[in-house]
Amino acid sequence: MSAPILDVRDLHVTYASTRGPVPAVRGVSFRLDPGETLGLAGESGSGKSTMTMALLRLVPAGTTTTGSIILAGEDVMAMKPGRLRAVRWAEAAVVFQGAQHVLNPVQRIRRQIQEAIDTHRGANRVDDLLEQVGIPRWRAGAYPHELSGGQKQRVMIAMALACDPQLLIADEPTTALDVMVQAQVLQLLADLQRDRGLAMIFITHDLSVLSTVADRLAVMYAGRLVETGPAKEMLRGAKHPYTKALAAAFPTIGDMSSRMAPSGLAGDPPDPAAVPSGCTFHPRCPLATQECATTTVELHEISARWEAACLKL
Amino acid sequence: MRSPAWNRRKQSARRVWGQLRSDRAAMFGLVLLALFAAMALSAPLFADRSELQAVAGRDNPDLAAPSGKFWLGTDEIGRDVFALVVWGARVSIYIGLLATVVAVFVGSLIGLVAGYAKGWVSRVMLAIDDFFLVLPFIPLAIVLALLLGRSPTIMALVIGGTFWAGGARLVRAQVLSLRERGYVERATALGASSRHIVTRHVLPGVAPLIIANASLIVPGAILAESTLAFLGLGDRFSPSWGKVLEGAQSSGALTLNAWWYYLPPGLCIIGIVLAFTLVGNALQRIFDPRLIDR
Repeated sequence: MSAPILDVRDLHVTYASTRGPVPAVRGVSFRLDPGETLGLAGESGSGKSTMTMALLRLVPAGTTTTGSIILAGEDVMAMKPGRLRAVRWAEAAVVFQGAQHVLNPVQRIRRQIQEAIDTHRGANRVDDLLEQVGIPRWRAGAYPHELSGGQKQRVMIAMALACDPQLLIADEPTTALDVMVQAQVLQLLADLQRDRGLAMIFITHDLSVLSTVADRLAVMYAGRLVETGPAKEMLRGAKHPYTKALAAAFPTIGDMSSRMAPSGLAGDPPDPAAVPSGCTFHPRCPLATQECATTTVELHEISARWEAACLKL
Repeated sequence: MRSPAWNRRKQSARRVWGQLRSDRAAMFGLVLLALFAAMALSAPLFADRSELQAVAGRDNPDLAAPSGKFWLGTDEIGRDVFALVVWGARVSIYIGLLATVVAVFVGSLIGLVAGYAKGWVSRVMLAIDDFFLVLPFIPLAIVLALLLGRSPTIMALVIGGTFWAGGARLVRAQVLSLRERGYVERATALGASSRHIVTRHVLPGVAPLIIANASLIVPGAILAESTLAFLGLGDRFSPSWGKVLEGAQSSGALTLNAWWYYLPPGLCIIGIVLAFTLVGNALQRIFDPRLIDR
C-alpha cells in the first residue's frame, strides 16, 4: 500500500461561542490514498464542511482543533503560518460551494485565477486552465456576473487546479446548479481527477451525486463518521440505519412505490452543543434500544474495508 | 493588462463626472470651489506677501474704509484687508486639505485594522477610536497647539489628528462586512497573506466610502481651523480667514462698524464650507448611496 496523501486521526474541532464550546467534529479518523475519491455525506450541520476546512486549518479564530492531520507526509497541525500558507492551494485546493460569492464581483476572472497562480508562483497559464475546464479562453476578461452558474463553478475548478494540487476538496460544488449542469460539472471533476491522479474529498448531502464520482463513501452524523465503505456497495445496500435513511430519502425516478412511501427521517440533527448520550443517533433511530442510549459506539469493521458505528451491526 | 484597467478607471471617472454634472447644487459648489482655488493661487498677483507684515502697513491709515487704493479698506495696523483675505484663502485651504489628508489616512488605517484584526488588537483600536470620538475637540486642540506650536502645518496636524475618529468607524463597519465575503475566504484558502487580502480585496471595497467621507471632512476641518484661530491660535502674520476675524473682533471693528474688516473673511468661510459640503454630499450620493438620508 502506498503512502496516503491524507491521514487524519482523531480530529476534534470545537467552536467557541458565547454559550460555551460547541464541538462540531468529535473524533474523525480516515485516510485517503493518492488518486482516490472519498465521498463525504451527511445532513446540514453534521460537521462535513467544518471537518474539511479544518484540514487546512481554515477555521475561525478561537476554534480549537486537536488530533493529527498528515497531508502529503507533513503534519498540518505543526505548521508555522508561513508554511501553512504555502501548503494551502499548492497541496490541497478547495472548490467552494456557491461560486458567485467566492468570486470577487469587481474583478475579471483572469485576474482572480492569476491571483492563485501568483500566490504560489505556479507555472500554469490562465488560458490553458480555462480551456481544461471547458471555458473558451476569450472569456478570461469576463466579470463573474457575465458568466452562468455552471461557468462560474468551472472557473472555481480552474482556479483550484492552478497550482497543481494533489488533493482537491470539493465542498458541495454542485448545490446551486440545475441537474443538467450539475451532471456536466461532476463529469468534469471526475475526468480531471482521473487524468491528473488527484485525490479528492467530495462533500455533499445528496447521495445520488456520489455514485458518479466517489470510490469510497463516508457518512457523517453529529460530528462523527457513522459508516464508511466502498461507494458502489454502500449505495446499493447501506448497513447503518442513518445511511439507510439518508439513501431512502431520495425517491427513485419512475419507481412509484418509492414516491408513495416517503421515507424521510423524523426529527432534526442534534444540537452540536448538546449531543445525545451513547450513540448520538439513538433518538431518531428506528432500531434503537435501551443499550444505545448509554453505550458509546466506535467505528468497527463489519466486512472488508467497510466500517460502521452501530451496536446492531 | 494595464490598458483595460486604465480604460475602466477612465470610464468610471466619466460616470462620476456625468452624475456630478446633473447635480445643480454640486455644480454650484464646484464653481465656488474653482473661484476660491483661483483666488488662493493668484494671491501674489493682487498683493505682495510682505503686505501681511505689520511694518508694511505703517504708512497706511488705520481702519480706513474701502477706497480706490484699498479695495477692502485696512485693518487696525494699516494692512490691506484685501491682501489679508486673498492670502488667507491659501492658509485656510491648505490647513483644510492637509488636515483632511491626515484624518483620512489615520482614520482609514485605524478603521481597517479595527475591522480586519481580531481579538485584542481590534479591541484596542476600537477603544482608541471611542476615546477620540468623545474627546472635546476645542480644549484638546488648544492644548495641543500650545504644546506643539502655531504654524499652519502644526494646526493642520492637530486638526487632522483629532478628526479621524468618525471616518474610522465608517471604514471599520464596511471592513467587518467585507471580511466575511466568500472571496476573502477563498483568498485565505488560496494561501494569501492578510496583507494581500487587505490590499486586493478589502481596500478596493472601502475606497469609495473613504473618498466620499474625505470630501465631507474638508469643510469641518476649515471650520475647526477658523474656530481655533478666532479663539486666538494661529499665526498673526500669515493669517487664515479665522485669524482675520479674530483681528476684527479684538480691534473693535464690530463696534466701530468697520464692515470691510469682518464681512469679507466671514463670507469666505461660509462660502468655502458651503462649496465643499455641496460637492461632498454629491460625491457621497454617487459613491455610497446608502448614506444619503443620515
